[in-house]
Amino acid sequence: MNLIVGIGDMKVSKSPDILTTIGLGSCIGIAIYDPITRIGGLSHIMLPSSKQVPDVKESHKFADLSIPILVDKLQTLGVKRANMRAKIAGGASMFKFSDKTMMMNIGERNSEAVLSKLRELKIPVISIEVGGEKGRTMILDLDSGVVRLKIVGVGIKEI
Amino acid sequence: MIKVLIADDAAFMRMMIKDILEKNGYLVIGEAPNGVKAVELYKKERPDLVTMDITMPEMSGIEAVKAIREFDSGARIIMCSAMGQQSMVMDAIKAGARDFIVKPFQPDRVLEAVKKATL
Amino acid sequence: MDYRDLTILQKDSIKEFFNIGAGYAATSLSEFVGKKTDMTVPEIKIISMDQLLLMNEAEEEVISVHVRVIGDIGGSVIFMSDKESMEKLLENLLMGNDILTEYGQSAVSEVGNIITGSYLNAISSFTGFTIMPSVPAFSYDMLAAILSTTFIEAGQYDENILNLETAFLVDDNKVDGHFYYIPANNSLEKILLKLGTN
Repeated sequence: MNLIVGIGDMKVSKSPDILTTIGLGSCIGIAIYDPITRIGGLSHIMLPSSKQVPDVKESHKFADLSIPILVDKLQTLGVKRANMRAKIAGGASMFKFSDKTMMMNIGERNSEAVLSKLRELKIPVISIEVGGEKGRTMILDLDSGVVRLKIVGVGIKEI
Repeated sequence: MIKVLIADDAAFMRMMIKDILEKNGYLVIGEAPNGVKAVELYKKERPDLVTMDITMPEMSGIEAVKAIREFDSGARIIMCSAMGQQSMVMDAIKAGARDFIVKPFQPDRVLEAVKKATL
Repeated sequence: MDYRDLTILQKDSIKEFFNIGAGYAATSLSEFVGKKTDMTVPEIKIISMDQLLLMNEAEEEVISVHVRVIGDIGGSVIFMSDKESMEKLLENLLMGNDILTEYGQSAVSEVGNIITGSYLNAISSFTGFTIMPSVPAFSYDMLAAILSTTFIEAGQYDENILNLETAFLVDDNKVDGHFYYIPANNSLEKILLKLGTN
């Protein structure tokens, strides 16, 4: 079954399901997978930190909140922390303004926040495909743990 | 022949203006993609006229007009921009521009403005 | 600002404000590309980002031009369409050049520059604000990536974002380009204040 993870959303499942999130621009997709139980999850975050936001209801918008929730969810499904492996994609700088002062670095900040949180939770990141200027669709195959990225003008890239 | 310098960050627009001018007997001696280059080329080539966009990277068209007029108080510059707000037209005229063409424009409007500015 | 709190009167005034600005943009577009352009009735929707993406073909590859709005109010303007429609729209300007070449991208960017300029000129006229466009940025990418990033960069990432959108119909409706105005999160209040419906 193909499950779609929306923007600011997170889903977990097991083999042979496929988790897909579409159109990661400055957003980052975080896939965490356990090759032993073949259980995994995918989270689509929009912003690095929830700290500036007063009344947070949608945790999966933020890297600092979503990742711990994803990890906990996987643990309740029987995944051992030591077996978790992460792959991340996204964080692009979508708009190439010739006036560089117009460019924002949300993608870069997202990337830093995600890697920092995963480091804090001691989850090894085995593939990183962030930055650049193109959007990515991220597909996590729970049967193999392979992540496929669809990029306009490039095609499909496996990480 | 009257020598013109075209400043606009869109290559496409520079081509369009160049086409209109060359077909009507003007000589385009340079093209600048931003305000900094516009000032540089003005100093180097000393054109009879400049067509100047406003919204450009590095240095805006208004800043470039000020810089060029400081270098040469007789410089003839006409603005050519998508921005037609009253305050901006005033700013441009105050900086020393002689005319202000709002995009999109008809070729006749450009020719009329160029003719008037180079009388 | 929580857009769910907008009254019917406020929503109507925003719609009218957008309608007038978009009208100028459509006229401008028509003159620049040399084709007759019509406009659909502007939509004002208060929805979640997820719903916005679901409403559209999220994975569709589109050509878009993004112009930031700076000055008394901030935000972004996006003009986008699928590649084929954009090529048809700009055929008088492209003159056989591929739209993805530097020349083609420059033409698309200039369309964005001009229609945004007209839109902002109109807005400025009746609010008295001074508003400038940034230089434009061309993209050829997935609709979801472009739209989501633009909204997030404008500070609109709440559960309820303001979707102000209209479609420009060109060539007897065979071409449609989508025009979005995304105000930065405190700009709408300033606009409503000026419109007298705050």
